[in-house]
Amino acid sequence: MLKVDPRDKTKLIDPLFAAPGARFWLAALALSAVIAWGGTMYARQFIFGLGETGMNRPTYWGVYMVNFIFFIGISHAGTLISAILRVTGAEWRRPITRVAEAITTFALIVGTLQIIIDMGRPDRLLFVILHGRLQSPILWDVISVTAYFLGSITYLYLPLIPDVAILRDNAPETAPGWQRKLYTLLALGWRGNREQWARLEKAISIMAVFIIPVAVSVHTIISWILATTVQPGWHSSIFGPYFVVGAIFSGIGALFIAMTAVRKVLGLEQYIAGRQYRNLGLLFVTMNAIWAYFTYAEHLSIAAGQQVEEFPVLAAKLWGEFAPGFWLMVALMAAAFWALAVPRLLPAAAERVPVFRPRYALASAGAAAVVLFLLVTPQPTSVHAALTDAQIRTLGWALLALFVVGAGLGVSPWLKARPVTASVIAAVCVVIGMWLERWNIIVPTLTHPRLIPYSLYQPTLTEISLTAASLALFGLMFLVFFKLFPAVSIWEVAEGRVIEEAQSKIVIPAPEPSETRRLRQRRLKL
Amino acid sequence: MRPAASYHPQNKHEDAILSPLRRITFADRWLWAVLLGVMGLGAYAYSRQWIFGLGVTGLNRPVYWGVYITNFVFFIGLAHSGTFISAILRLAGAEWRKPLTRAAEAITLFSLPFGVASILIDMGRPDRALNVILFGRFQSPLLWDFTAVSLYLFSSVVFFYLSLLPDIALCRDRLTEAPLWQQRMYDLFALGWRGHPEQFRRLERVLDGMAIFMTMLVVTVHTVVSWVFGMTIQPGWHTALIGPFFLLGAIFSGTAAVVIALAILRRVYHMEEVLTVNLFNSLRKLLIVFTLGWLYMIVAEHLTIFYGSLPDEMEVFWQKFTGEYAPIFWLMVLTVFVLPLIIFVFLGKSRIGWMVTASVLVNVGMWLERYVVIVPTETRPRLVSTLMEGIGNYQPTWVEGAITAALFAGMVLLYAVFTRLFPVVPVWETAEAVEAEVPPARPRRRVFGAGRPR
Amino acid sequence: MPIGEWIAAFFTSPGPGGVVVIVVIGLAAGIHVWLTRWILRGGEQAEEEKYRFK
Repeated sequence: MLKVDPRDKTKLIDPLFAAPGARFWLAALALSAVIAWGGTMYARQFIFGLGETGMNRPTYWGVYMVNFIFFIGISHAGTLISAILRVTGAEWRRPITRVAEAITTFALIVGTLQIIIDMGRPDRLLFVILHGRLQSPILWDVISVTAYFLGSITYLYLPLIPDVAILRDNAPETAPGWQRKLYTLLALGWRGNREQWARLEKAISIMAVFIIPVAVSVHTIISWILATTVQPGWHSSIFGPYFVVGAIFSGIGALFIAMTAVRKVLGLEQYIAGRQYRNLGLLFVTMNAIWAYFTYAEHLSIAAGQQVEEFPVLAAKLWGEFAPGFWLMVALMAAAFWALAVPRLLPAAAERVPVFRPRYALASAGAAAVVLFLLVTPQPTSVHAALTDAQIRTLGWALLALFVVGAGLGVSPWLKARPVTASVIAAVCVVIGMWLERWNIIVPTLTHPRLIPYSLYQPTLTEISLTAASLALFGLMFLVFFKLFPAVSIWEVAEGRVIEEAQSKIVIPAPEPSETRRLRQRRLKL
Repeated sequence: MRPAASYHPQNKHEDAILSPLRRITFADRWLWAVLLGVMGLGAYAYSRQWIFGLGVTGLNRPVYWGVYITNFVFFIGLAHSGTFISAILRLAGAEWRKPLTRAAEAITLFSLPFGVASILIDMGRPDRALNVILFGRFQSPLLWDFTAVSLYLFSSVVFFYLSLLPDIALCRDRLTEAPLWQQRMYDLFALGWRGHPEQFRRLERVLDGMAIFMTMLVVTVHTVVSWVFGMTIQPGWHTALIGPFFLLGAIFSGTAAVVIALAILRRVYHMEEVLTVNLFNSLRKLLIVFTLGWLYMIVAEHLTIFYGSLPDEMEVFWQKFTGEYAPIFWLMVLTVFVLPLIIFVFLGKSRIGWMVTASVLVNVGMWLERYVVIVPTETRPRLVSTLMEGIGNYQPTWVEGAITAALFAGMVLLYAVFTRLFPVVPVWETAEAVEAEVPPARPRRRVFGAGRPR
Repeated sequence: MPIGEWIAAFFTSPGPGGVVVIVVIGLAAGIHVWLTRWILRGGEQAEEEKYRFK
């Protein structure tokens, strides 16, 4: 009979046995509707063929492939949080491991689904197993994603066992029979004695160490599917690390969104607290910087190389037909960086300066929007004549930059007071930005190929519906999972409490108090 | 405003740390003499190069860059050790790094000038170095390189000096039996440091800020150095990965160099209490991560090239894997990955001897790696499709060897002299963080982002 | 303000690169000297009123 802390019981266990409320059913219904719609669109695609999508020659890979890489990227959230932070001994990870591991598993499922959706003849998937060539990155991809998937499920399940046992033992009388049976089954007869705990710890530690290289290999190999071709813009050796960095980056973003959602809906402010947001935010900002470094290195190489086939791909991204998407991505990433970094650096007294107030931020943002509108959209001839002058255009872009910075400064104190909101804003920006980044990698290259004339790619309703349905599927799996299982790992958090209590009792004999000791309380302020 | 003595935080290892400064042994003088001898030989070799021109080296067309540029990249890479330990680990809140910072930064300080010197040595007409300043084009990676490395050198000196400042004052106050010129030197460089708490507070703040700046600078410097190669379209050089590749390689070889320096200092100056085995274990974990990370990058690089099978690239590829440079390439793989990984993972825990062996192998291998990145590409350039007799070979001569030896000797000499004049472990930084050699009790006390439990 | 011309000039001119070097190093030197002096000024009489030992 496993005991549980009464605080944990009210917050984490009771909601699982309560009958699902109206909100739950409404959400489940809405998501199922979107999935059903996606299902019908897929049926149409299955019957009428891939002509229903926008894909053609030479754009063999489109939105589905972008989604695939995007979802597999998001799946790196779990590994980072659970495994790397566990290995480095970061205690603050404890409340969020369950959410992270859940994201990984579901993102992997939905990601793999994208491949199947992308195939006109899904039955041919068996060919990879029957006739796969060992030297093909696609085969390696199948192997590594499968390995990662199995590893993630194990890594999700192992820490779940004690929690499920707790649920089994603490189920109220009114709990439905099927739920009790489910927990009893999944608990695998966990008794919680010392021997079992020791073995579980060992197993989880080993898994943690082994899943890190598997996760790194997954996104590396996916990137090598692109990099081992000679397509301009793809054949770049940086893709391996670049994709891994991007994956971890987008994974943290997804984690922010998911943990905030869980925190809000289930009222878990005691568990998923400021410390998680602070530390995860630091990681996020670092990954943002590293990602920006890799992106810059990538594009600068092509720009400096000026090779005949490579340069048009870059040009299409910088000022061609893919420019809006590219610059939107850059803006989103910069906004995310700003949203998390600047509030930390801002002194508390900044609010007294007029520029740092929301209304000025709004005014600035409005002005920026107006200038942007004038610069990029076609104007009536009288305005157009003025705007074609190089100097006025440059002035326009400079003004735009100024207004955007002003808006950013104005909104910073507001963000500083709301770290959770700032994190979510940054995370949403990054998640959208990373989807755009995948788009910018895949489509410009395919539409500007080496030997064939250039083409255009226009995603159709089918592809958009199936993307929406995939996201809805992800959401639904998430919803159902956290209705059945605790959103915070009960035993890990309890373990954390014990450790913190023990730590506070450790006394390291200090040398004689000296003047400088008083100074050392100050920590690096970021 | 010259106080007779300033305040110094208590450090129970102060005597152990200051003891090397109190005498200069016969062994020291012998060492310095040998090193000066090697430098003399190098100077003689350079004089021959100055008089007879670059023909005395193995450089030719199309191999314009050889051992000298390898030295340049290698020394700049070594220099990243100090910044990594002092700045990056400082930002990460790794308290264990404190005893190491000065030893590591000294490596930075004394390898950077030799990196810069390598460039000047590489030039047949060194006076033309001024042309970069007078006529440098803004869009040239060489100019960015020049600017970045100069700024890095300058900032490293300042960062080093600032963290040395309280200890110079300590030397001035404690080393009363030192020769007069030495005492005057301490007096001058102490800049009237009083040890007031406010001064310490401000010093810490400035060091925190500089740590962020130096981190960005490290990334910039080594990336810009790599872009001198990466922004050309030479096969084997024109890869986007070259930036992160060189950066990780630099931090890797630098950390290994820190291990070597630390082991030598520990042994020669009897600092077993201060430079504990735990430090080596922490460095060991970092080195394992770096080795694996760098292995990952090398695989990514070569796999992409191999699968692309572009003819120009493959020429260089086969040069490295099966051609003229295969012995060096595979020796590099052995000494940078295979042997060090085996040693670090299986033999290195708490065994300093093995750690040093592996670190020496790593540094030798990294020098070879630089060589293997630079030279094979030049021997198979893009437009020389049918190589004429005698072109596409590179054979370093004794001049280059002697000068390389002289550069290493110079670095070691400066380092050795430094350790006899200034404390090599920061006394003021380790004042309350002195840990006894006790293995950390379970549960683990490492908390990400916080030095103390909240 | 011929900003466009300036940008174009940056990318095409063979200008004296030394300007960049000198400006960067000079700025760094100035900042560093100022910082060092600021550190050493700590705890002087006038400022002892402002800062209190915590």
